[in-house]
Amino acid sequence: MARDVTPSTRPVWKEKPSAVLSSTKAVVVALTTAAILIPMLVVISTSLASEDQILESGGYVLFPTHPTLEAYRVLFRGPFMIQAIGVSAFVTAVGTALALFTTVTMAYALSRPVLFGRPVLFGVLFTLLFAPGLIPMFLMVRQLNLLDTVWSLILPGAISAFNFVVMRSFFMSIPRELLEAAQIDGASDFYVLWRIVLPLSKAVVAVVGLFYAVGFWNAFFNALLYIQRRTDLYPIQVILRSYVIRGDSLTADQLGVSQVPPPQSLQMAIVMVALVPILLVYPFLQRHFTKGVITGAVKG
Amino acid sequence: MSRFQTTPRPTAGVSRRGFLTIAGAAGLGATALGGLTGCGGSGGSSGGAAESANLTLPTYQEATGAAPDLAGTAEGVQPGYLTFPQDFAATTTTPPLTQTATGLTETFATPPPAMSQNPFWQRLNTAVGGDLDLIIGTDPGYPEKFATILASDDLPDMMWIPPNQGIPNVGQMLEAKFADLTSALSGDAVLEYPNLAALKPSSWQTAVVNGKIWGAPIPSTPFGQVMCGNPRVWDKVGGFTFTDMEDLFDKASEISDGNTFAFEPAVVNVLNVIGQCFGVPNAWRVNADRTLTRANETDEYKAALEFVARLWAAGLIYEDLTLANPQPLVAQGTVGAYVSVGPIGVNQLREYDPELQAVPLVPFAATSDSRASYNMGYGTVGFTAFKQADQGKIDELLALVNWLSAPFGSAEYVQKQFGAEGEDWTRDSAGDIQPTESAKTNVPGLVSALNIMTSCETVLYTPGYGDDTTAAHELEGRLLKQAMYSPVRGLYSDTNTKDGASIAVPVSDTVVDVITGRSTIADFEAAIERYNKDGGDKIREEFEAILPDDVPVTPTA
Repeated sequence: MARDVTPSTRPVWKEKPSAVLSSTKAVVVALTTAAILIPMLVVISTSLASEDQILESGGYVLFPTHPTLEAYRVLFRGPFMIQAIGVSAFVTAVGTALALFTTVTMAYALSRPVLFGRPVLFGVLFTLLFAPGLIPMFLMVRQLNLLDTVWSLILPGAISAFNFVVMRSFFMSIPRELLEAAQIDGASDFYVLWRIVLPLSKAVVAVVGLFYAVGFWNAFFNALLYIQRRTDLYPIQVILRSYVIRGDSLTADQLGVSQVPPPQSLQMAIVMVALVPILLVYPFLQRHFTKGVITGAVKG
Repeated sequence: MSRFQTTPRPTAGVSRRGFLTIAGAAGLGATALGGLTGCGGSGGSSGGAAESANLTLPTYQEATGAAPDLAGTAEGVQPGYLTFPQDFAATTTTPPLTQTATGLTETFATPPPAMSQNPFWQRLNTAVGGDLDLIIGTDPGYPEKFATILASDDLPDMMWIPPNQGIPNVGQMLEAKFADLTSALSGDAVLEYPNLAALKPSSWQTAVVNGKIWGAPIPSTPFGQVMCGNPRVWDKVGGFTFTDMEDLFDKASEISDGNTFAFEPAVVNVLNVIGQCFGVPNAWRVNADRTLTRANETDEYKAALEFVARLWAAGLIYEDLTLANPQPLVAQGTVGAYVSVGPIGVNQLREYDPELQAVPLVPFAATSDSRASYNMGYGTVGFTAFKQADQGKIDELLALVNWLSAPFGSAEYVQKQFGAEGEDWTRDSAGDIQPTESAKTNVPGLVSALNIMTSCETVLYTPGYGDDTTAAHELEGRLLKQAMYSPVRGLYSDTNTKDGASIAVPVSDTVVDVITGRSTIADFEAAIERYNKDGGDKIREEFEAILPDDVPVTPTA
């Protein structure tokens, strides 16, 4: 009997994958996952490891045999860390909320065809893509009397042109008919934004919010410039940066201990302190993340 | 063990890397020492070189402070103190301030609590008679802070001018914004401020630009770099001493196994120390015909460079080039040796392991044909300039800096470094000063900031470890027997002050690339050639033109 060689009408991606292909995919995914997770595991394990084990393993360990929290205890011993985490948390929360407000409202306004002078405004915002420079920003912050205030850490980052472009692109993809229908029913612009546009834009708001939050959490340079005397307003990244770049900030003298934990443990504990709080936000936003990024990127 | 860091310890006043950069400049770095001394210049063709050379420096009048346990010598060994003096004599009669004095400085420790939350700071304010309202930058980041404040035109009363952080056009900046202090400090006029008169002429040279004195210098150790080893690591191969470079290579190979590395990763510093064993001159070589050869143009330099590249290729140098501070790893035994600033490095591992005294390496002949030498350092970390103001304010600031520069063991020194007895410190049974719990938080960040803007001449004192002071004192005597000073020390080259630092960057980058195997010696030679074309030859000519006759010809093997 002649073999049926009629090609399938199904597209290739709907064909059942071969065992070889599936296995290859599984191996690649497993290797990629391991490449991401193992360094993370090393960071956690080394932060908990004893000096003997670190020396034995040549610097970094995969599984701590005698875990100890000494590195974390040392990091949090002084008043700086808790205070700095508080500042960072405030800056991140308030900064993200404020930045989202400015971005959403501006992006919505500039996505509407009826706005007067829109090209001019858009041109002005386009200039924000290019950093104004260190000294002009400093002079502006100083003239606004923001030096040595927590607002100097928030307001200079309260709008990002990149995030604005992403948000506006998303808003422009919402069918115009939907918004016009609401307006015919008597809805104001604020009502349309709040009740129609934002519920449809959860993905992009989540991802832009995440961009802002990560930016505020990781920022340190503004604090170096704008915090002059109020060292109690230093965010956590300034303190951690000081610890990482200048290892001798962690000497026994300043830590008030007779012997410091192994430097590798302290470094990894610092990485954990810097990473974990912002990392905790990701799972809650993950489902929006891909959709938000792709939508903002491909539609315009 | 003591928790305080004090002025005489280099780590208290300046970052290790920053300090090593200065020290390195006096040795093998492409930036010649004269560039640091001039520290700016007007940029004009005639410049301030001749004017600066003709200036009368402040008259030196030695401080009559507490008698040291180990005497200093005329050759340059610093006085040493095994314990802190019992009695603190005041060097001033009245508090220097009647109003607030503002300042910009930098801390090399964790930033201190703000003034309003810092009792140590408040007690210091009481002692000086007014608020010391300091803007304290962090390391790194000072040049950016300096630039923004300068641009704002709202300058504080005092600003620390570092010699090695790339602040451009220092001469023009000083002329435009800062007070010329020459009339108040030159010659015998300085005697009105006895603690400033106790700063040595070599320290004052750093504050001279365009023939004028612009501030009070911040003295530091006059010694250069010293390589220090962990004896627990090196004892396995017979100790941290070597007969020649091949012996060093063999012993380093024996202790390096992929988990342990013989040397720290600041390869330029390693090269500096190794270079001294090969006989590389300090910054310049004076030839018999009175011409100058830059250190990195010599055959000895190339030999040292090739040797350090060989160390790297053999895996004997710790591989993380970005490592900021190797001392914890040396104390741990992961790295065998680090390069410190000055002989006090023998004490630096104590901070991580109180039982561990580091062993120093005295430069030895790399080969049977080599003439080992020890390169002395620069001796200061810049100066503090005053904003232009009325004479009353300037006088008050001078009195303040005089107070803050009080010598080791004086009442002012104790107040500045340690605070008030009972509140900030107590005496231990050995007679050393120990901080209270609150002082551990309040003191280090502020003291570091104060010490980088004002300091007395340095002495040897390692709180709680008198044997380290003794070891450092003895080491200084040994190093001075091989000491080489830069022949252009105190000389000025306008081209060097204007362009020296920027044109040297590609050379420094190439040196690191050669060591790490990314470039060849031919690339290095090409970089030197470019440097000479870009201004290096002009710098040489300018130094040759003013080289004093009493500067000796540099000895060679």
